[in-house]
Amino acid sequence: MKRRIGAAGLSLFISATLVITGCAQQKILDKMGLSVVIGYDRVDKDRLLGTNVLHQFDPMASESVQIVASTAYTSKGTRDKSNLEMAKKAVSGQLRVTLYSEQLAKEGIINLVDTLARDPTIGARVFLAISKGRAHDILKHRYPEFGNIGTYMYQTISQNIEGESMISPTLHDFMHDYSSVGRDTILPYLEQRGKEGNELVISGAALFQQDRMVGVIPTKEVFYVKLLRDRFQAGSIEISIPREVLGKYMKVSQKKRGNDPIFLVLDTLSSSSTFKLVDKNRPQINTEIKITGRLQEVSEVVDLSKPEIIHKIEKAISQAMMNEGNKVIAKLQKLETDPIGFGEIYRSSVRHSNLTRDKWYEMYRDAKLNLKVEMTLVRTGVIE
Amino acid sequence: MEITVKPKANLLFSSYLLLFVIVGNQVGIGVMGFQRIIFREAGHDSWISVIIAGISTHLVAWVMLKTLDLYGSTDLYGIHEDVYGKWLGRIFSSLYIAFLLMGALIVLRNYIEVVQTWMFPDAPAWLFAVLLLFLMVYGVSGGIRVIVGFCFLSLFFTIWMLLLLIYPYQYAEWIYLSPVMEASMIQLLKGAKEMTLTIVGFEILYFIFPFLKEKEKAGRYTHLGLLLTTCCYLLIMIVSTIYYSEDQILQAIWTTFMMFNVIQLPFLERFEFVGISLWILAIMPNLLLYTWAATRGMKRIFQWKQKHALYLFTIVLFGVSIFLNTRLKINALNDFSGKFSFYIVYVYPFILFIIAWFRKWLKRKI
Repeated sequence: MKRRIGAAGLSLFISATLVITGCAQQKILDKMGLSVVIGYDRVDKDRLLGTNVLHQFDPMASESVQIVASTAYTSKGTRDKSNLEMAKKAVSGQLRVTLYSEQLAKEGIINLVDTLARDPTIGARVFLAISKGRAHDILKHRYPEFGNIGTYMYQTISQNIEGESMISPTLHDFMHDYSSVGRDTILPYLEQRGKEGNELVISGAALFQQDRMVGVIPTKEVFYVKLLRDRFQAGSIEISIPREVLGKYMKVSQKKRGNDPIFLVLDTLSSSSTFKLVDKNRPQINTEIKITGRLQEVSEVVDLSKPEIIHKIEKAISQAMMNEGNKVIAKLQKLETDPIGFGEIYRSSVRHSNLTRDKWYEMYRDAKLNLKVEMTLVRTGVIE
Repeated sequence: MEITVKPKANLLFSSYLLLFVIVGNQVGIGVMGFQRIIFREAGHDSWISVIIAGISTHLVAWVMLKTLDLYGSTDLYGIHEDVYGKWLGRIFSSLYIAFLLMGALIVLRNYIEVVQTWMFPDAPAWLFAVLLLFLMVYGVSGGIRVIVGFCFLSLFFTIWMLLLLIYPYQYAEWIYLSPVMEASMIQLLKGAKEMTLTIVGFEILYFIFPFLKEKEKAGRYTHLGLLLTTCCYLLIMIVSTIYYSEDQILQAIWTTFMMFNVIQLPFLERFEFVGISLWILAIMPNLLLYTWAATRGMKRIFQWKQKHALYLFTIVLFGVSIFLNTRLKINALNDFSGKFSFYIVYVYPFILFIIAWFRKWLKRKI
């Protein structure tokens, strides 16, 4: 009895397996065009221009990427239209970056991002980025220094995230911040530079109010947003302190160089922050940040063997970071965008706050957000 | 029908395997996306609801074991006959069989839905139904010892997936857990009630009890199994809460699998495909145990051959699962069964215990 079931079972199982593999849609690599980057632009009032950068698997092809652009009313519509001019079917399983033009981002991009999140073939680690000018122009341009714009763009962004000079802009982060009550998205801002636009640079970060872009901050200020929003584990920064701090420790010849600030480079930064909501009616949040780091470079010759000099430098750095940080916070408040997530701190410290976005923006505008920084120099390299 | 069941000695299995049976039958389809249902009620305090639900299972299982202890070695069908008499007992037992089949149906249909959504959107549902039901028939024909053995394997093949929570944990924001206890007690209890669909499965105790070798050890392993399940659920719930924002959880249908989305390995771009395929090992114990218990009922009450009952149930499951072809219908089924299971699994054991105990007490008096 049992053996009969076994034999019948095996044959049925095998046939079922065959049938199932026949039924499912096949995906043969040679017949696929793998989208690596997709760029979106606004063409007119309601049409989109989708630019698809595809990997080529054809060894005979002279270019390793193929770029296809088409216009339609929806993002998936542009993909279907692109297929009309391609020998291979475009699939998005290898999608790494989606690029939105600044103009489009200012109108809001949630419907374009939402379709990515809805699609099970797209991973949560896809990067989102904003382009200065048209995304199409950036993708279509032939860069002499690198062949494959798709992987290049991906690596540029991911390298900078790992180096902690950019805030992680993955699809997950976007959707997370978008649907949080008290935090806004921040995405890398790419632009073409150099002669004939042959270089591709992350020149800053685009600030958002929910899904609508409201401004850009330069990379220097991104540091402070990251400092407040995440933790540093191995970042680096160039910072300036006033000359008079170290004035009396300098040689006479150096003193004469006028009043230019002294520049310092700190690396292997690690930071931790504590937030404290002091007043909940008229929100006041005190932030204390402790940073440790290594002094890597000083633009002047300074004797670093004396503890008092180190302490002076530490103090000056803390002061400089505090000033800069507070300036950045004020700027963000003015733009009414909260990439740092003070709203979440408010929500999580006030019971039954029933915080909504609108409520928070209202409070955020004139909230008192104080920053205090305490810097410790752990070491100064291999020589004192 | 005999009230006590004394299975042959070669059909008995060691009591410690009960742990695997309990966990195997609890963990199934609910865990793929239980977060949002609880979040709707309890918000970011949902993890407390999970604990409450976990504690309640211990209480219910304790009552179930107490009821079974009154009879020594029997199953629910025997108790029904003893408590309600022949006809009423049959009606109650038939209802319970329907409930068991519904459990199997939910697992079957939801799993097919997941596979269709994530992996094969263009493959027809009936094909997967045929494949899964075939495996089910094969397993149930093997008898209880085969099923228990499968539960044992299934746990080891799936529990390692908990380690994968490390990936979403990298994006964790603990701030999303506070303020703790913002939800009121009522909301927490409501949330715990919504756990029903996810946490039920231990009612299989009622049917598997006579097959245990050492019945006095049943309690220990039942509670251990329940504890293990609750810990897994708690872990998943906490990681989901700190990984997602509240609105994201409320929208995601299969939150647990969605979290796999963030895993990217050099040799494997998307982990969900492995996870979902392996999940078949986690749902098979549900299918096997529920159907087995149902066929056993047909044998006990109506003296059917278990094999015939199995074929009949397979056809019924197939037919109904084909009929439930849209997300809306499946959700309706899940909601209905969540409510239904609550009364059957949480409320009914207490009533049954009181009646059974009262009868015993009366008999002793007379």
